[in-house]
Amino acid sequence: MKVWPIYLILAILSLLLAQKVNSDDTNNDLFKKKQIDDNTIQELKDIAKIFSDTTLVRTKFIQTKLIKGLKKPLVSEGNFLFAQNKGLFFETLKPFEQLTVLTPKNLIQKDSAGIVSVITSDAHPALKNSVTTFLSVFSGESEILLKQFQVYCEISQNNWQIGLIPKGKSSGNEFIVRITFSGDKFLKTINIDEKEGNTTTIQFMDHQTTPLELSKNEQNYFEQK
Amino acid sequence: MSKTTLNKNSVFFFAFIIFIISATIYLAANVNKLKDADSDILSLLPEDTNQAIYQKIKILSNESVNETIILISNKTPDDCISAGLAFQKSISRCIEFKNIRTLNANEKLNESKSLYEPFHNLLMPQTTKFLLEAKGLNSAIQQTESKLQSPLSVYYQNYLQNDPLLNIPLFIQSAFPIKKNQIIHDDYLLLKEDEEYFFVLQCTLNQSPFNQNIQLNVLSALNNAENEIKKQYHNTRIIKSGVLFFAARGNQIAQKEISTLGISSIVGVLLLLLMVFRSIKPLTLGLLSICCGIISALFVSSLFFDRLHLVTLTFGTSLIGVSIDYAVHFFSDHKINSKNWSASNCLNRILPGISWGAFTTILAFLALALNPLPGLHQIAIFSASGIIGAYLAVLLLFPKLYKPHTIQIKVNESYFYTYSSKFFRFLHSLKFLLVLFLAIIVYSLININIQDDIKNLYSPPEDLKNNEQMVHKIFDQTDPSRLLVITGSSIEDVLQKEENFCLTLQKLKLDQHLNSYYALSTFLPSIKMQKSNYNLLLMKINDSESKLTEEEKNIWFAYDNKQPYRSIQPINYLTPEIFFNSQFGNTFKKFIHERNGQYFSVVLPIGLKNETAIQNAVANKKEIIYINNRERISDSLKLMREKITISTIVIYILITILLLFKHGLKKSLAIVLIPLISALLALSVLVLAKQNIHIGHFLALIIVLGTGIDYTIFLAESQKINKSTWVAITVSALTTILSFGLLALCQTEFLRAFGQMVLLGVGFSYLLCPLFYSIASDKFEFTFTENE
Repeated sequence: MKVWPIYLILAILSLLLAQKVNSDDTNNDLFKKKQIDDNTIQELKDIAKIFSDTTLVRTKFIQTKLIKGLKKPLVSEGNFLFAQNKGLFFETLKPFEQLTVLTPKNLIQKDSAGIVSVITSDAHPALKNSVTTFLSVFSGESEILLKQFQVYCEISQNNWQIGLIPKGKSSGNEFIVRITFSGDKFLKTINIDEKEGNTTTIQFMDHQTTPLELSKNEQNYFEQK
Repeated sequence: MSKTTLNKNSVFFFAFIIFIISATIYLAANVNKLKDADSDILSLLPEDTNQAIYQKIKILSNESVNETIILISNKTPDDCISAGLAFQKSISRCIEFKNIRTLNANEKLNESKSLYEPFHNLLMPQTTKFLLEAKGLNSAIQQTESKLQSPLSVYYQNYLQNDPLLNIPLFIQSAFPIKKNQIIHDDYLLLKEDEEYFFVLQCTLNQSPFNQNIQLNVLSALNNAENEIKKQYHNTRIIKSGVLFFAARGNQIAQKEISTLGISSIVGVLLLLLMVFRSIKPLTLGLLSICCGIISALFVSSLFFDRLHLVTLTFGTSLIGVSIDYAVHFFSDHKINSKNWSASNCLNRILPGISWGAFTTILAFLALALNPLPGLHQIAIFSASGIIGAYLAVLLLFPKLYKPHTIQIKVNESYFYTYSSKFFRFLHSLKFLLVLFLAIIVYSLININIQDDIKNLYSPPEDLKNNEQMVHKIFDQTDPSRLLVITGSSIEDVLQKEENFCLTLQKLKLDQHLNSYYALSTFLPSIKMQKSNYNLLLMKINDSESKLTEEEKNIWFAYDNKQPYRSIQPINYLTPEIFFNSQFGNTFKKFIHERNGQYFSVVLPIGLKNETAIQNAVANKKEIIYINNRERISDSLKLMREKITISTIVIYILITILLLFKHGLKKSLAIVLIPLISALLALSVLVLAKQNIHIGHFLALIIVLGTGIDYTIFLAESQKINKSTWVAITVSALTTILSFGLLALCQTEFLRAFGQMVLLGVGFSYLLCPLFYSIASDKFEFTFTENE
């Protein structure tokens, strides 16, 4: 039997796979573009306006974490909510129930046994920076982003991407290589690349902007102690 | 006078001169020892009857007395850190600091990680233990997944290879929970309070903070650094706390008081002598007897004690007024018998009176030494030897130095002499008031309010107290005066007992009787606990490992580690030797101590709200003691006060018995009753003035007896009362009142109370002494005529 066709198929498959990796890695294209400056800041502000106009949004989410040493990614699913002036929460439903609430001051976690732990963001620089970054993006506060990160931005048709690379060695940001936000009318994906080669991807879907009021349950989530 | 007597007097004269000169040279050579007086008020207190416990508390407090906490604040974290580091750099030039530590979060974390990581299969937080016991291995793995899914996953990812249950990071987190007011900024742990950030410097002195040189150097360095920093960083506040500041302030106050009281006493006494005797010689010789008294007091005390206390030296200024009494009687006798006066005849006349007076005063001071307060031993020896020195100066020096033919004592009919005789008559007529005084005394003793609190000995300055409270509030330090001590036969035994008791403390914490606690076993679990953790882990691994789901195996076998947590036998436990020899564990050495084969550990409650709950918790446990140091000291003071009351009664009875041999029953009772009534009357006045009565007042009762009795003794010794005798008594009383009256102005609470009691007591003794004749039913002659 001749073996060369097998090798040819394998080679083509490899090329295709490489292409797929490259096409998935559109982030690299984003960061090759010009960094946001005073002339191009309007693009960032336009994207920021999408967020600042949104006072409340509910979505489903899927989080995928690739951690060095683990053979498979850690995947979780659940509900997400962002409320201006309150914060955001991830209500994980699979693989186990867990609630993670981020406010400007605290990280509140409630595990499946109902045990609540509250961590002040001031005590954890990494947490503080994550909270500030996320809430700034969701609130459309571009000035805060420009202060802490080199910001990259691309708008094409109905889609946009924002890329952030931490400036200098500010406390808590030393673990992060870059963060990418992408979406259209709403935020669709967040990618976080870490120094150890670990990555976190959060995908948002089924966006709902009504009702505008928080339910009693949702209120309680922000008031956990 | 015979030649033999003359020679004997010369020998004693020169011997005493040599003694005074030698003592002066000795004191001059050891002047630094005198300058280095002890200012620690607590060193005046007695040792505990439970020696072992006392030693443990002493070691803990000795280690903490060398510590100083400095908070540097600013409105922003960056400025706060910059100001803090600049302050640290500035004070690091001061060689009195052994070390100066900042709160570097990463440094502490790295130190703890490097200590604990090798023991990841032996150490476990309570939450993981609970999950393993109650729900199994998969629940514990789920805990890990939950941590990895959170925004803080970056802190846990590096542990997965060897510690998939995250035992070490979770153990460290549970041992060092982050407090609400703590923030980490640029690796430094800052404290936040009311929109202000605080940078913490923990400084350790290399010598005792009670050393005056240390105080001067350190305070100077801190002040210079503070001035530098405030110029550079506006809005900076510096808050300092530590025993050093209290000691330095106490020192300052005491030294100021010693010089003020001392100079005022001497000036007052000399002015009085000048006013009464109107001549320079009594003035100079009076000063000589005071100096002899002070030199004797300092010299003898230096022989007995390594360090004199500032309280002793402050008290010693009152000696000035007491020691002049014998000189006053000497000069007054010259007035009575100015024709053919000679020193030897003078001494024959006044010797019984001044000797009895000196004897009773010395006895009263020495009675202070009978009680266990070390501070009073010093005061007793100091005062007794001072009085002996002044007495001997009159006895041995005055006859040689006081030459009647060179002096004209111009004691003419001054207003002082005219008034004093009228005053004597007036006082003698007030005998009906004795009944009233007795009624007042009875009423007051029934309504007396006795307080045995340590606050009555010492009240710290307000500004230092406020600083201390602020540091305590912000830094959330434990209160070292309230602690639990656990005893055991070995460190392991003590740790096991501690772990057991911590379960009770946890319950008290849940019931909100305290905020938290600081126990060594939190950071160094016992070997038994480590074994138990390992066995639990192995048991759960054997039960459940094969039944893990794919997702759970993904985490459990991270990095393809096929056998997480298994140890090669024999197991290396985290032993006390390994712990205490590590950089991290080194700081915990002060929490464990060994004495005579017994081990003690200290558990410190944090934010204790309900003391009764803790007391009940230890009620049936022999090996655990709860100590409230403040209460312990107050209990000691109460015991002392009771003993002092008994000693006072015994001294009064003893003196009465001694006087019986000379004066008979009626007179002896009269001699003692007057100072007794005076002392109780003084106490009554303070009770009626709604003062809290404490041990200082009771101690003064003995001194009132010792000094006040002089007046009645002189009256008993005199065959007739004349102006000059009465003037001598008046001048003695005035000088004593002046000295102790000034003591009543001290800032040190104990001395102030003492001074108030003696001032009033001696005052009343003087005013009531004419009533001696009424009580003794003794006939006497008033001879207040001229030329007597």
